[in-house]
Amino acid sequence: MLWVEKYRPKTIKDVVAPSSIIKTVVTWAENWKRGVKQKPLLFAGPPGVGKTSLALALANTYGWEVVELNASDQRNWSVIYRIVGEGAFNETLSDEGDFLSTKEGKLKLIILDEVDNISKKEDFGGESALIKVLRRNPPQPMILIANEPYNLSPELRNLVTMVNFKRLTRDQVVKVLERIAKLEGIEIDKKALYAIADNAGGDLRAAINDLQAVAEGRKVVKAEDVVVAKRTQETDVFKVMQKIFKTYYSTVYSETMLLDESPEDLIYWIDANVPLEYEGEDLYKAQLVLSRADMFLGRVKRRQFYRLWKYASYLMTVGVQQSKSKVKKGFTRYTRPTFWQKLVTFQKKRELRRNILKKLAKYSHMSRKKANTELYDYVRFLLSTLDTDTAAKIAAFYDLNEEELKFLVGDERGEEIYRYMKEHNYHRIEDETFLEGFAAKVEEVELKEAEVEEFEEKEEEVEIAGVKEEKKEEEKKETKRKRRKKEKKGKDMSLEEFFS
Amino acid sequence: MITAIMGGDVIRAVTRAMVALVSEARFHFAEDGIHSRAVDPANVAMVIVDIPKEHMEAYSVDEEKTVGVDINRVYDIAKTIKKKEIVEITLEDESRMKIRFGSVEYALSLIDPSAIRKEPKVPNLELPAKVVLDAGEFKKAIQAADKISDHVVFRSDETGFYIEAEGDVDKIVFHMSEAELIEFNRAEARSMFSVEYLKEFVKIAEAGDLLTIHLGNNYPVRLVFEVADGKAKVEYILAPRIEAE
Repeated sequence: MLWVEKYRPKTIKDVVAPSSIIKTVVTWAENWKRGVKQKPLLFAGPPGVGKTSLALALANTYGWEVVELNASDQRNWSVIYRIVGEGAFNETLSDEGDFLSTKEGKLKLIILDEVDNISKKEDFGGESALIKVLRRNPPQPMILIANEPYNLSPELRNLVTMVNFKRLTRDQVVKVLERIAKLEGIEIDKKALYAIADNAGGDLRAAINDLQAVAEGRKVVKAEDVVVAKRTQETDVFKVMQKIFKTYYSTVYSETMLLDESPEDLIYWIDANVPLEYEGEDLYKAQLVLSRADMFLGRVKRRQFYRLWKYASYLMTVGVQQSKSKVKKGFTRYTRPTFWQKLVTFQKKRELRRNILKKLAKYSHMSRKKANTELYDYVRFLLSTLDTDTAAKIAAFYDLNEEELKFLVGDERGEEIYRYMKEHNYHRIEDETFLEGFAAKVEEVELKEAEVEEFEEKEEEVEIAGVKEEKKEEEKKETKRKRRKKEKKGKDMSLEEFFS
Repeated sequence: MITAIMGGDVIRAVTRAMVALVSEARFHFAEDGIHSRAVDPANVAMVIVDIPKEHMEAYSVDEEKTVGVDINRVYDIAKTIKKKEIVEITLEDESRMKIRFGSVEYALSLIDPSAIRKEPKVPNLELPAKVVLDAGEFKKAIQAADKISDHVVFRSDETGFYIEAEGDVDKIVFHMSEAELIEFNRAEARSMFSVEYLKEFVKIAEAGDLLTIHLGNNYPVRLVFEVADGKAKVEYILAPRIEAE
């Protein structure tokens, strides 16, 4: 049996965790016990610090039935709905054959392990289902567990109370290891324990596993017996930044390999933080190296030749690292790259501009490309310099909406033109003259107009019933146009009027 | 070696009944018949299945066995079996089960029973009200309730048995008086349940099947279906919903 399971804490008292966490959790549980509904808890923290253990020990201490759902289960929309949704709103039948009623304080703790790993693809809709369930204020206690709480949507985070777990200290780990060794009847050197604890880097589960691997089949363990494979400690991008900017250790390259960031993303991180650390000549050199790294990234993309990533990574990490002449002293708060956020806003702007061009192109009878090169700036100039009335007419002619106007000429002027347009009811109508060709058909439609107006909702059916199949489409449009025309009481803009 | 011969309707009903709650279950091949029970992952409902020896065409056990079965897989196969078809199940060891019907022989590899969730004990419940009715009627009531709400209230008093569902705007009441019920003890009881479970349960029910409901006050309900012309007994125990104060 794995020691990790064997020595899993049975009650709250056995759990290794800061007293502040224990206090929060116990108050939470006590409130539940008294029948006061509480927000679900979100245990957040690195692996092996006792998140799941605490949740299980809590249930054990209070005699709650446990329903656990972890990453090995499929957690799509329907599973979350059936298990979490139903489990949280119904009473419980225990494995022991008892009926547990919440009215008697016999609760069921639903533990959702590794919620940040509810995959977007396979577990489609899992997270939104969870949000829906939590919104309904479940009458059973629930604990969510995540390594990276910030991978969860803010919506979900708002529905829970977050409890942050930190990495355990070396002494805390050693203490637990000591106890286990004693219980197993193993004599172990203090140094050996420290070696194991150091290697585990605050991950108690890893430490216990290592201890078992070392001690299995021995009665006495000495420091030199501890030859555990170096555990790849979880590292994060901020640590890598620190290593690049504050040290000269070229091992930073292999460390970046452990990061969950591709070189294409990492370069933005480095680029965003270089100016915070370097200045003058150093900054210039670092940027030069970065641009070279970027060239490699471009080549990777173009040639689909991923071996070049290696050079890009080397340049952006070790290259930037070595180009400094001195280390800037003091703590630097590294920032997240803003590139992706900017991308989103740029996209919005591009979209807006494209819509405007579409209108310009359509109403001025030209291609969008031509509208972009010849008309766009001209219209913008006219709108911002002409008197409001003419500008509003132009805006109405191109059927521009408020957002587009504001984008073109700025918030204030855009607002002014838009208001003027509304006040004078300027709006675009299609040129009517070409409708004359359809005069005969229009008449036919007019006969039905009365009917149409009476049964406005049934408009389509009436038409379909009354008009031949092939004419249907055209006539429907015409009816609509005609009706629109009737409704308009303000000044209509047409091509002739505008150019006269 | 264990051999069991039964009608296709029995294996269909039994697997359907289990699949409503779990994907894997232990089956006991005992002297007196085949038994299985399981509790759903959310610890809300339990299913107990019995196929007594007398209701099988033939049944021989030289040594009692417990096997782990992937219910989803068996159910997929069972769906293709016709009701009147005769199915032969043979079990030589704990690793493989043979299901033979028509011209098909399906060798199903079994799961280690110890890897399956521990079987629950059957709760000892004191439920005052007892109602016996046509399962088909019950099925209709649940399916109607499902259209408007996610929970229903089962209620019984001297005037009869009620199933009530209240949606945001609509309300459905299903009422059977003593005369319409097959058996009724006029006891008073009331509990609320999730439709989500009930609608899965009623899928095995057909008009003409007998359903016995044991009901309590804010207490679990026992629904005992006699399916496949009474050849198999499927019992569900469902915990009540927590009613908002």
